[in-house]
Amino acid sequence: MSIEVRHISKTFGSFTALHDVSLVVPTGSLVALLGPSGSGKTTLLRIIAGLDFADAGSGPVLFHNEDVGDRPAAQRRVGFVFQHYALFRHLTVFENVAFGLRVRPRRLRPPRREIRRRVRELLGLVQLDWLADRYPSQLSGGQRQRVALARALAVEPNVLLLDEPFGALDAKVRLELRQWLRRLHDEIHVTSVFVTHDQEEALELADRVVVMNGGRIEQVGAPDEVFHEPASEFVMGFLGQVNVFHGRLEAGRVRFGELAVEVPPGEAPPGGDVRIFVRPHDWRVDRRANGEPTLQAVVCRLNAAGPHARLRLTTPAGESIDVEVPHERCRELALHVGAHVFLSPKQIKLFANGGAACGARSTIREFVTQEDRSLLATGP
Amino acid sequence: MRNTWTRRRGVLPGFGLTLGYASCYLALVVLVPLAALAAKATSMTWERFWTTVTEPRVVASYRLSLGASLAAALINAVFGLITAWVLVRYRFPGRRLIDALVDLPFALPTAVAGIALTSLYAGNGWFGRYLEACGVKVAFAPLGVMVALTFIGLPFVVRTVQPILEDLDPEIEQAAASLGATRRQAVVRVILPELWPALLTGFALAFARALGEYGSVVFISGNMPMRTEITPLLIVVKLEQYDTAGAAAIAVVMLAASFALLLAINVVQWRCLPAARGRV
Repeated sequence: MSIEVRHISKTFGSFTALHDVSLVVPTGSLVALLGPSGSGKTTLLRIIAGLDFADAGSGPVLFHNEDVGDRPAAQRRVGFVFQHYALFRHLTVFENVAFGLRVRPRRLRPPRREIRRRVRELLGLVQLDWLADRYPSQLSGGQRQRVALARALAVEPNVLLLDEPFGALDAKVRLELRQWLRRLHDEIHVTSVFVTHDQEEALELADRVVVMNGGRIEQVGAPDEVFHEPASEFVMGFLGQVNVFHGRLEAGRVRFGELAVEVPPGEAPPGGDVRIFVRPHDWRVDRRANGEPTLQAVVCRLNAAGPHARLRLTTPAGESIDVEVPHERCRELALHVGAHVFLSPKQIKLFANGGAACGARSTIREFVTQEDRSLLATGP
Repeated sequence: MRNTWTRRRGVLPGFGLTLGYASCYLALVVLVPLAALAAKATSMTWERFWTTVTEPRVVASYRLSLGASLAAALINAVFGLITAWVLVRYRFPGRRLIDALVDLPFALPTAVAGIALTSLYAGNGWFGRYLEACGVKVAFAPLGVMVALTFIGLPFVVRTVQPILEDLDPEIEQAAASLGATRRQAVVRVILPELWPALLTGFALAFARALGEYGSVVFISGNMPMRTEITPLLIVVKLEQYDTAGAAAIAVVMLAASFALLLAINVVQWRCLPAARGRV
């Protein structure tokens, strides 16, 4: 069942949590609402669930093209998984899962045996059938999370909504549950929306990622799309580390530091001052100047733990640059703290200064000439 | 034995010291006086003890004391819960004032409360005037005893339920709603079960307090033998007649009854709430 919200605004007192947000979630998809705290993602989820209501004058909340905007949560048939699970402490795992079936009006309530069968089946699905008689306080965080999920699925929801589903778990359990949830979704195909502030989680788990900031949607797209083609500075900065430089765009070239990069016409912002974003893994690192103009820097920190070696470099001007290189490259170059290196960006991303998002992927065509460099050095 | 003790001391130091202090304190303040009471009562022969405690006037007082205390505790359980609910769930002008008012029965000398209630409910009082016109006699009747006991017991329920209600995660109600529960179902199936232990504790405290109450009741009850005498009053009467042994005898029965009832409430709390056992 598809979900659509149109022109939703929500204010709490003087704080505006959502500014005129519209979003479509296609049937059967798994969508992530990604953003920092205060970006309005949880508010949007709660409005979809009917736990909060949009301000007067907002557009409708549509489930399968039917407006459910003024129905309370109890009549929307949504499965909602709370960040802290909100399990009923006085009920066993079994009764927690059965709750949604037991509170149905008598004519809609399945018979006792049917309830038992369905609860058993759901507990099997979340791999917790052996814990049916325990109380929530006797379970681990990951188990509680799965009980909360089974409880939400028991009412055969139209849509499944999850608020920071892995927020309260430790890193390893979080990773396992993430993969498990993805498999579960591929199995049952219920339209799902989850809220997260963890970009890795959103990029790995979701079919589509909705990046939110300050009560607005910044970008909607497939994970690789928002990662590689960020529509705004915010998205670029939020989806992973970046190094930011200030520069000028002149005659199809952007200059920053001692570098100048040619930008293909049409892809460039209107000109003038720009901000240049370079991801840590988009730098080429050399120990020797190869005759081409590069940025000089000194390694001031080196962390080889993890999938890549992470370097913190300092330029003579005192700027810090974060760089990631593969371990082999790190060994090849015999990098160590204090080593001098030469940097050139493999890929950059430009945004007009302070202006609206204006992105362009550009690869380096040409390095600046000596003449350019002296010009930059004497320039304003 | 020694081993387990040493191990325990490692986890949370001070076990021996605090246990020793607690039992010493309990013995001095609670157990020794109660033992003295029992000892006093045993100075009587069994027969005299039995006749003293089964005298019709005394038995009538048990009935009133227990009955009125139970009724008052029940009323307090219901209205105390509602009061706590209002204080926790809603924000309105004067909320803090009402919150402070709840404690007043704790602070007020009980005799003052008794006199105030009597003047209100007496035949010429503000309320009594209209109630008696309707044929309801409150002051100088068993009903008056219940009113006084309700007054002094109210804070117990409010103050035990309030913190639990404050800590109650609003998300569990939202969870119930998202699972399709009506408001009534959410209250009955989710909120009340969470409050039961606190409510029972508050009820037990209010009940115990009411059983021992003396000051406020003696003014409003009128102290008519066989009708409006409470057990603590009879104990005082016996003491005034220098019948210490007789007073002790009645006190022992009262003590046994209170203890049995409080124990029963604890057992109920333990057995009927499997979740309490599940909680680690």
